[in-house]
Amino acid sequence: MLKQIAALTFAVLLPAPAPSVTFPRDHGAHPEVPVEWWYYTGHLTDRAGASYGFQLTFFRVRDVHLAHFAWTDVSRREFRYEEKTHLGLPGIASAEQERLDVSNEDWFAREGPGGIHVLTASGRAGDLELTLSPVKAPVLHGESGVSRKGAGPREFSRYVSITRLTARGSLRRGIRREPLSGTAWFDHEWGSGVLPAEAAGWDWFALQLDDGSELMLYRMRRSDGSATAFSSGTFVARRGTAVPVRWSEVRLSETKFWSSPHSRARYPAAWRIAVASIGLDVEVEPLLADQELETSASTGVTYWEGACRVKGLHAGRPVGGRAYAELTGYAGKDVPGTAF
Amino acid sequence: MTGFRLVLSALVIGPARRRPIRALLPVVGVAVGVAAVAAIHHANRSITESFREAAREVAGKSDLVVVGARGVPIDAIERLRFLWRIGSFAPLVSGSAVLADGSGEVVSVLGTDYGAEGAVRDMRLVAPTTGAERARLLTSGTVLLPVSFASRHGFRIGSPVPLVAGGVRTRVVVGGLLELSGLARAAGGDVLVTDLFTAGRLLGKTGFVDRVDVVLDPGVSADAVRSEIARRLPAGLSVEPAGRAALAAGRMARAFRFNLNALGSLTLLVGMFLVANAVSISVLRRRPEIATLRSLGTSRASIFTAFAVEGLAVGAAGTLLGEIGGLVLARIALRVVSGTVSSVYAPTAKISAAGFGPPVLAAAVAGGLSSFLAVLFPAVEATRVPPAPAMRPGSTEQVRRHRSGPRAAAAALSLVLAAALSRARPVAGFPFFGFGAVALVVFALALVSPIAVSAGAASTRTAFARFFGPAGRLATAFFGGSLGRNAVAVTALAMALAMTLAMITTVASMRETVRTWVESSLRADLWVRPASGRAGAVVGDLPGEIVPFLQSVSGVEAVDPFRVRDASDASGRALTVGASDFRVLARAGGAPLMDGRDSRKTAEVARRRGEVLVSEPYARRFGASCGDMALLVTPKGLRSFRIAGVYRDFANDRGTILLDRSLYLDLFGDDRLTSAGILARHGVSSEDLRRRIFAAVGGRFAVEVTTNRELRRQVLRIFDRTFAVTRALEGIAVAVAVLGIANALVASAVERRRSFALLRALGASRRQIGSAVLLEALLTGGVATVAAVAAGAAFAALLIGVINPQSFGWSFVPRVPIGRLAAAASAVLLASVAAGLVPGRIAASTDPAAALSEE
Repeated sequence: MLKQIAALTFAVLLPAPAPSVTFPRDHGAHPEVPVEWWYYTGHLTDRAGASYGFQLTFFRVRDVHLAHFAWTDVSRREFRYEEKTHLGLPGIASAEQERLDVSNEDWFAREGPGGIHVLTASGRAGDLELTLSPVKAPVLHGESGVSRKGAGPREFSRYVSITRLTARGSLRRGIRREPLSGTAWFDHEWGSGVLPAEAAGWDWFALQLDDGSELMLYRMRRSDGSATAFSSGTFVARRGTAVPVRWSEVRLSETKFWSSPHSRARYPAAWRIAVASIGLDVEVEPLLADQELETSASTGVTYWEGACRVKGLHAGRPVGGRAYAELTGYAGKDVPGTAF
Repeated sequence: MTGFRLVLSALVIGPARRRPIRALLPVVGVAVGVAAVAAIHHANRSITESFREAAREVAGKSDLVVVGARGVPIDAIERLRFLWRIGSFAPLVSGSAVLADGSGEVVSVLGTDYGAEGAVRDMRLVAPTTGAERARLLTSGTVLLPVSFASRHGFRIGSPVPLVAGGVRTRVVVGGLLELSGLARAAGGDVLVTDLFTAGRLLGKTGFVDRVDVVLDPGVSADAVRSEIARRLPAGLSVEPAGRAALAAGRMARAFRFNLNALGSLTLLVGMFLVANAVSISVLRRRPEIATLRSLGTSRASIFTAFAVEGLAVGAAGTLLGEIGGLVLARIALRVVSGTVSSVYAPTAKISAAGFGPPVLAAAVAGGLSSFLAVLFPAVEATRVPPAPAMRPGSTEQVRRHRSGPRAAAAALSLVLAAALSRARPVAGFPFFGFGAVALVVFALALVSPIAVSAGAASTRTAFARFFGPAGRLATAFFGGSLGRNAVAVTALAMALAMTLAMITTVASMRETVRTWVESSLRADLWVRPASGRAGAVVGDLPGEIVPFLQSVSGVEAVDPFRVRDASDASGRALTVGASDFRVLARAGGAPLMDGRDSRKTAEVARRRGEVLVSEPYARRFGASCGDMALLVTPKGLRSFRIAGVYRDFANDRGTILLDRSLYLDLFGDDRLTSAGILARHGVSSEDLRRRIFAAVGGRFAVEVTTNRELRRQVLRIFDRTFAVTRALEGIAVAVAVLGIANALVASAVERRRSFALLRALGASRRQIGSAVLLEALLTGGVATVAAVAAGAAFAALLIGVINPQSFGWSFVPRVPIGRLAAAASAVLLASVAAGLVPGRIAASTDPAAALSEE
C-alpha cells in the first residue's frame, strides 16, 4: 500500500518523461539533463587466440566531458587505462544531439553506415579501432527506459543498452597492427546522476552467455552491503526479447575478495549469481585481479571495472560466457554521483 | 716586480694612507653611481621579468599560440582537431576583475579548459583532495585561488567571492586552492582560475577565447605544424610562436624603463668623471715624484700601471660600496616603480623583485669599465711627465695651455658631428644616433672645459679684483692656476647640471604639452568606466547594453561609447585600435589634429567616407601621414583605411588607429566598451548629471563616473608620479657632482698649502686666503653653470627634438621653465660655494712656519 502511494507520488513529482525513446536519435546527447554516459565494454581475441578486454567510456557532466579507456591484456596479465577531461568545446570534446557522435580529443564513438558504431581510442596499450555491428536491437531498462536508482524525485535515469554487438577491428602498436574480433556491449544512460543517499555504491554486471542470451544486473548497495529496493536487472533472450529482472529473484554472493595495492580498497573478486526466474546459476570471476581505475585526473572516482569469465548453468544446461563487472564505492567516499 | 711595488707604494699607497678622506671621496662618487645603476637595473629587470613571467606562466609549455583580432571564435577551435594526433592544445580566456570584498584589489581572471591544462600549463590543486569534492569543481561558477591569495583575503573552500567583472557586480564560489606555481603565479598570484565558460560569462567574452596554446609532441616540427594551422584557420586568425607574447610583454613600459636607464647612466658618468678627477689630481700632485722616479729609471709602463691600479682600486672600492648601497636603493626604487607601472601601464601587473645577480653584475661591469675609462687619460698623462723639468711644480699648466687650439677645434668638430647625427633616422625604433649626438656633446664639453676655465679666470680677473680686492685677485689666480684639476671638476659638475637642466626642460615641455592635449582631447563632461577599485587604470570593460541606459538619462546630450583593444598590422606589429562615435567627435571635437585643422570637420568627413584617424605615435612608427593607407587585421581579415588625419595622443606609444564605432562594430562585432564619454545638456552641471547617472545605471552596472576636471587632474597626477623618480635621480647626479667639486678643492687646498704659507708670510690674512678659496669655488660653480646651460640646451634639444619622438613617437612643444632652471642652477652654485668651505678653512688655517719648513 505504502509503496503504491510512494509510486504515485513519484509519478507526479517526476518531470514528464520524454515521450518515448527512439533510435538513432536517442543515441545522441541529451544536454537537458546534467549527467550522461556512453559505455562500451567488450571481449576481443587476436589471430593467435590471445584474449583482451576493453572499456571505452565517454561521460558528460554538464559542460565537462570525461573519458576513460581501459585495456586488459589477459595473456600478458596487463591492465592499462587512460583518462581525459575537457570542457565541451568543438574540436576538443563534444557530444552531438540526435545521433551517436561523442568525442574527447581523438577518441570517439560515432554511428557509421547501417547503424554500426565506430570506436577509436588510444593509449599506452596502443591505438584501438573497432567497428561494432549490433546483433540485437537496443533494450530499454526499467519501465520503458526509466531506470529508478532511488526514491528521490531526481533519482532515476534513462538507461538503454545494446547487449550484443560483434566487434571487428585492430590494435596498432607502433607499426604493428593486430587484427581483433569479438563481442561488445553498449550502455547509454542519462539523468540527474544523483546517487540516492542510502546507497554507498553499486555493482553492475553485464553477462554475455555463449548461448546467445545476456543479463544486466544492477545492485544499488548500502554501506552494509545489502541491496536497496532499486536494484534490478534485465534479461535479454537469444532472440532479443527483454525481460525485467526483480531483485527478489536474484541471489548475489561474493565468493572471493581482492585488495588493491594502489587504493588499498577491498573489492569482491568472484561472485555466484543465481536468478531463479530465468534458471540461471553461474560463477563470475575476473580474468585479471587488478582492473582498478584511479581517475584522479578526470572523474576523481576510484572504481574497479574489468573483464570476467562466466561458468555455470542456464536453464539446466552448462553454459560459459564473458562478462564485465563494475564496482564502485569501495574506495572510500569517491563514488560517482555524490558530487552532483 | 719589487720595483713596481715600490713605484706603487710611492705614488699610490703612501699618499692614500696619508690622506684617507681624500682617497675616499672618489670612492663615494663611484659608489653612488654604481648604486644608482644597480638599483635602476634591478627595478627595470623586475618589471621586465614580472611581465615575462606572467606571459610565460600563461603560455605554459606551448610551442605555438593561435590568436585573433577579436580573440578566437569558439567554433574555429574545431579546425585544430587534427592536432590531437601530434600534441595537444588548450584555449584560454583572460581578463581582470576587481575584488568587491572591500579591498578593491585587481585580480586576473583566467578561464581554462581544466583538463587540457596538464599538458599545456602547470596547475596544482592543493585542496580539495577527495574525488567527490574535486568533482564539485566542475560546477559552473566555481573558481580556484592560489593558497596565499585566499588566505590573505580570508577565503576558504565554499566562500563566496564578490567581484566586479565586465562592468557588473557578480559573485563566484571558491571551489579549490592552488599551489602558487605555474599558472597560479600569473599576475603575481593574484589570480582567479576558473573554467572557460565561467570566465567568458564574467568577462563578457562568450563565444570567444583569447588564445589557444598548442603544445607539440617531441620531434614534431613546429614550423610545419604552424603552416598547417595557418592553412586551416579562417581569416582574421593567426598562429605565432609562443615566445612572441612574452616579448611583447617585455616591451611594455619601455618608455618608462628607458627613462630610468638614461638617468642611471648619467649618475655613473658623473661618478666616472670623479674618478678621472681624483686620478688627475694624483698625477698633478705627484709630478715631482713621477719625475724623480722616471729619472731614476722607472719605465713609463710602470708609471701608467701604478696610476691605473689606483684608479681601478678606487673603482673597485666604489663598486663594492655601491653594490651594497644598490641593494638598499633597489628596494625603494622597486616600490616606486611598480606603483607607477600598475597604475599607468597594467593594472593587474604585480611586480615582484627579480634576482639581484644580473644587476649586481651589470653594476660591477659598469663601475669597473667606467673607472678604467676614467683612469685611462690621466694615467697616460702621467707617463708623459718628463724626468727633469717636471720636478718643479707648475709645468703642467704650460703643457695644457699649448693644446687649447686643437682642443677647441676638436670640440667644434664634435658639435658639428652631433648636429649631423641629430638629423639621422632611428634604427629599429631606437634613436642610436640621437644618443651618439649626446655622447659627442659630452665629449665636446670635456674638451672645452680647460678653455672655459682659462677664459673664466681671465674674464673675471678685473671684476673680482675690483669687488673682492686681494682675495678676488688670488681667487682668479688659483682658479686659472690649477687648470687640469679644475677643468675636470668643471666638466663633472657641468655635465650633471646640464643633464639636470635638460631633464627639467624636457619634463616641463612634456607636462605642458600633455596638459594642453588633455584640455583639447578630453571634451566630454563626464566619463563612465567600469568600477576599477584601487587601480588607477581601467579594469575590464562595460557591456554594450549600458549605452541606451546612459542615453536615456535626462540631461545627457550625447554618449560616446569608447572602445580600445590590442590589434596588429599585416606583419604582426602590435598597435591599438580605438573606436569612438565620430558623430559625437564631430560635435564636441576631442582628437586634436597635428596640422591644426578642426578635428570636428575631419571626423565628420571620415565617418561618411569610412576613413580613420591615427595617433601621432602611429604616424611615426609606421611612417604614415594624412592620405596614406592604414592596415589593420580585423576578424574579417586584413583591411586598409585611408588616414583622414593625425591626432596628438599620449595615451600609448604603440600607436592607435581610431575608427568610427559603426565601422568598428561591423568589422569586429564587439559592442562592449572600455569607457563612455557623456556630453551634458546645456545648463546641467556635471555633479548633478553624475548623480542621475548613478541613479539610472547603478543598480545594474558597477561603474565609476569621473568629471572632466577630475580626469584632467588624474592625468597630470599620473604624469607627475611617473617623473617623480626622475627628479630623485637628478638630485643624486647633482649631489655627486658637487661632491666632486669639494674633492677637487680640498685636494688643491692641501696641495697648495706651501703657496698659502708663502702668501701668509708675504702678509695675506687668513680671511683673505679663506675667501679666495671660497671665491675659487664660486668660479668653478659659475663656469660649470655657464657650460651647463650651453650643454643643457643642446641636451634638451636632442631629448625633445630627437630622442623622444624617435623612441616613443611623441613630439612636445618645447617650453623653457626659466624659474625652475634658475632655481636648479642657483642651488648648484650655492652648493659649490658650500663645497669651498672646508678647503677654505684648510687654506686659512695653514700655519706659514710649519708649511714652509717642509721645504
